[in-house]
Amino acid sequence: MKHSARSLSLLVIIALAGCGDDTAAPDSGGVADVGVDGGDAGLTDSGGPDIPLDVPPDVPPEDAGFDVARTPVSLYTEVDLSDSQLADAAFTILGQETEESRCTRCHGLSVDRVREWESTTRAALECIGDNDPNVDSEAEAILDCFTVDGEPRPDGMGFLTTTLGLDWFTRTFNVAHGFDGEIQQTRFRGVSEMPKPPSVLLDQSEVDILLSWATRGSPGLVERLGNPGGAPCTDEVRRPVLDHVEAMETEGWAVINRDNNVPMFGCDEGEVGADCLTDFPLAGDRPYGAGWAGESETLRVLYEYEYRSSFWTRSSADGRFVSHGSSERGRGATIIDLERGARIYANALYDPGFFPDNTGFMLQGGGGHICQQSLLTSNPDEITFGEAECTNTSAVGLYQHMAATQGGDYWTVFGQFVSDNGGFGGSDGALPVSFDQNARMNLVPFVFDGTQYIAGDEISTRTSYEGDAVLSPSGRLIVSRSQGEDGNQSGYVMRSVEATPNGDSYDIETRVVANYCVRGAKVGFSFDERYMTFQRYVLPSDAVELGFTGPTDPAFAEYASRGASNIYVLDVTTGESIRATTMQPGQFALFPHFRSDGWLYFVVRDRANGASSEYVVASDILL
Amino acid sequence: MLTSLLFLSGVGGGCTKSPTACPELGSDESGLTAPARFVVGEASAWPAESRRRDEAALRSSLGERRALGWDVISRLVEDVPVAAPSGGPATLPRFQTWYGEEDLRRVVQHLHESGDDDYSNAALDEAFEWNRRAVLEFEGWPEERLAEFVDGASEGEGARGLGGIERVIYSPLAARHLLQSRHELAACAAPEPDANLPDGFRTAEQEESVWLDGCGSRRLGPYSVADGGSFVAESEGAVVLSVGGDECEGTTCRVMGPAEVYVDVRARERGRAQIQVRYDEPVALWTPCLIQEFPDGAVILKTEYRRVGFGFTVGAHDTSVTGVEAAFAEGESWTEGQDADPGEDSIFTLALPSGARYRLVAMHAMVKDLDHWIWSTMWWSDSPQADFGEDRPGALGAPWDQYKMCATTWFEEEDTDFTGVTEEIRAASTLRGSESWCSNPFIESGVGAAATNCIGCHQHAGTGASSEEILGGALIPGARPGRLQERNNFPTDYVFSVDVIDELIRALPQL
Repeated sequence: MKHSARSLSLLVIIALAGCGDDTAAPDSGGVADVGVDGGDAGLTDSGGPDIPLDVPPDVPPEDAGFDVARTPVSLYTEVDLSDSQLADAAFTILGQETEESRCTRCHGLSVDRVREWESTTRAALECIGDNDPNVDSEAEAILDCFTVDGEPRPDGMGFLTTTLGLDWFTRTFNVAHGFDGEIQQTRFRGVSEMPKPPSVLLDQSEVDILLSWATRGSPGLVERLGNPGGAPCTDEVRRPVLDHVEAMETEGWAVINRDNNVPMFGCDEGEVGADCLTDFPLAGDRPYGAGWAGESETLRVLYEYEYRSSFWTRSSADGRFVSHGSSERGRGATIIDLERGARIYANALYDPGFFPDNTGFMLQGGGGHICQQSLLTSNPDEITFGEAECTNTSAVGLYQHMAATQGGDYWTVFGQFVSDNGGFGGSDGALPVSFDQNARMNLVPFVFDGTQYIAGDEISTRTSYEGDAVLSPSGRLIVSRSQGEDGNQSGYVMRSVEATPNGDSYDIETRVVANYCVRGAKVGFSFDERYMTFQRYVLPSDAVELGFTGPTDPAFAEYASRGASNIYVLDVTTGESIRATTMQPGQFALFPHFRSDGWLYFVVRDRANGASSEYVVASDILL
Repeated sequence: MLTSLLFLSGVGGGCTKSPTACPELGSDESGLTAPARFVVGEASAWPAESRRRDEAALRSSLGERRALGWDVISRLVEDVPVAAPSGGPATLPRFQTWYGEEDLRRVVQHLHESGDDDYSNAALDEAFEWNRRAVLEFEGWPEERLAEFVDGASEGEGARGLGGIERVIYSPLAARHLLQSRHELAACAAPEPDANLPDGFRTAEQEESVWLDGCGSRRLGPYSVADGGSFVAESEGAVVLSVGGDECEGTTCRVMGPAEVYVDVRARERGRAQIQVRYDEPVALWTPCLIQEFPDGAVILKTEYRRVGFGFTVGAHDTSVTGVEAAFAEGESWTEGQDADPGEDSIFTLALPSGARYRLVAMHAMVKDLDHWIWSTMWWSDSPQADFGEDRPGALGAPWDQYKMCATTWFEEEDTDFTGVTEEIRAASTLRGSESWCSNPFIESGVGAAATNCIGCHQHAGTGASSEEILGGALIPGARPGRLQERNNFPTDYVFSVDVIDELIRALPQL
């Protein structure tokens, strides 16, 4: 009975999970209270649902696979705290109301979001089941829970993403992979481990608390996060916005790049603006693109691809390179070189960004990677980020956005964000705004010291209930999505940014200069900074604007069932927005952004009529 | 606090960077922008006293070389009049008026748009003249904004900031020569650069006279034998010849090219031997990647700036005999230096239009007054009167009196004349024996670069060899890397930073 001790413990876990399911409906995302009156003190008294990993004495070492240390280790140990104490401890670890905002640095805490983490954690623990990390095949089975086609899969781990560097997983990797254990663990951690640097990783005692809290059904969750705290939105554009747009006519990256003769992709000698890209087919001439474009707009299909992109897409200032996470090689990132019609594989995962002066780009995954754009123009097949033109940094959080001041330093902004992977079912409805009162915008300058760029200290500003922050190309504006009183998006908040060198860092002063009460995803700025573009998933409330009689119009039914999203452009000086696309049900126009000369790029994830394709599309709506 | 290192930037040059192109990321390395060029006007020519020097005298006199090195520095930093539209500065140091990548990009673009692709002298005259006033055609620079810009750069650090902080800049003749070599540079940059290869061979004959003790030996060579050529060595005397460890037949050695041949001569008995060598050596153009070698008066300058503020400091390097010896002992590499934070009165300081302030810590000049250039390099010091600053001319006033200098003109010096040279300078300069030495601690920061002499690395420019290959001794087995002559031709005439031209032209839209 070599597994007896472990099996007993597992039963306790499953019992806990079942109890949580009965009372808290965690998968529903509901707000049912759990654990406060749960009468679960007896469970904590049980001594805890350990998963011991000591090799039973009757197992010869060779059966235990890789010769690892045999000291007992546990994934976690149930803590002996009351529900209230446990909630306090868990929220402290998550970063609510603490200086060390480990999780809240990127993720706003909401009931829905924590419930999702909780249910995923339970599912992960169930998948681990009674598998013994000391036995080759069982250690492999454990890791199989968190991989797809051999690639790490963080979205199936919940809070277990915080445990990947601890002893239990180290044992598991060593047994499963033998001498390659450390390499595999490092690879896994690079993809899946949370929290990301510079947040400090959790130690075993903190993991004990977090997993105990999750398996108890997250007691205290609703009391603390049950009421969204955003403010109502009032449309407003203040004078500084108009002044800024006027200044950008001579100082913005659009005119700088034009004066510097940065060549725009698809523009032959003497061609500018809408005259460019004429070598590419009109969307309306493609079998899938009928009706997409407005009357006075031209949409051109720049590239069709068969793999699935992941998360957002961004392009170089000259429009030549288009990048996103991709499934092309199972997992990784792709940079499409439109000029060569070639794809460059990049050893990263997602979150591309390009500097507005057309000199560099960034991707995330296994850390942040920043490279000179000359690397791309050298026509590589693959980028490892070990190239001389690249450097790696942990100073920039995920979902970052980038800017450059003319003749000055570079900037990135990041903070709480909502993952947006539209068209794949996860975020096809109203995009959440799960940003909490601790939300902050974090700005990191990249200071040129004379020979290289060096990441400066992070400069943080509290922006409660706002997230998905985007810097304008000049770095002088920031726009974030804001949460309203009802927990839904109230609109966008625009701030001016004034950065003044002071000692070893910058002083940052931000002021709200506009509110735009429209709904949409993360924005992209035009290079003259007069326009913002964003995508909006089609909801019943959009039915009339799309030309239907209302959400009950039978013709709208397909939109309701299959989803879609459209691209919008907003004039920041007036707040007026126009819709740039009319997508068919099942077609998702996503991640719009401008190139320097005003062409608007976006991708389409096409799930209509059985299709499973994606396209890079360009619009001349502003030209 | 600033934490993580980011981009390596700057065009490759010297032994510390890859000689391959490494275009900079970002606007902060901006050079002389279009509005700045409007204020500065045309680049100042290298003074007319430039002339071919007495190479033999320079190779035998450390004092003459140092005087020449200081003369180069003096001419570089000499204040020269600038165009000075109303409100602008009256003068700037000469080097701050020179051309960098920003200027060259505008000129290339203008020539392209004009359809004037022959790059004749007349066409270049017109293009450089247009460049002076290019900003007047820029959308982003209406008259009012330009006037504000001029006012902001009227004096002091703002005026000095006009020149930018571009890492490599070119005198007017050097810039023009590179532009006119665009076809040759493109051919060398091609995947199969034919122009870089020898174009044939010729027969060379040589007689070596060797005196050996009994059982003594001597190695002769290397002899470069061309592809398809042959090598023959014949001995007279009581010696045995061998090549590559294999004893030759009788008194004759034969090798077919291509090969680098070393002949080992071993004595059977004490005495003299005569070795007749006849071989087909490759004939290589002196500078196959340029229309011809750079003209007299061409100067190429590499600068090194450090940001002011943000906790950045300037390394103060010990270049005394003790300090240089210590660098040699540390893997022939310079250390970071002691942190120093000099004020603007004791180091050349400028402010870019963005407000970012920089200090000039080093400047590295190559001047085509000799076939193999004059190499003069200066660096900031917190003890400017010591060692390599001891003989600085008094005419070099502040802030240039805070810099030290070394100079070289050849791979090996044969100094017999030390007139005017202080003991400290003599001792530090001759630590390598007859091998010349001149290494700027700010610029030659790579591993193994502290023991180099500028010319030893630069001879490989245009060959595609990396810094690691040059300094690692991978090019010529047994050679002392980065110091002695290893080539008989110089594809880009010792200039690493030539890729800029090819890249600018390749970036042009297709006609």
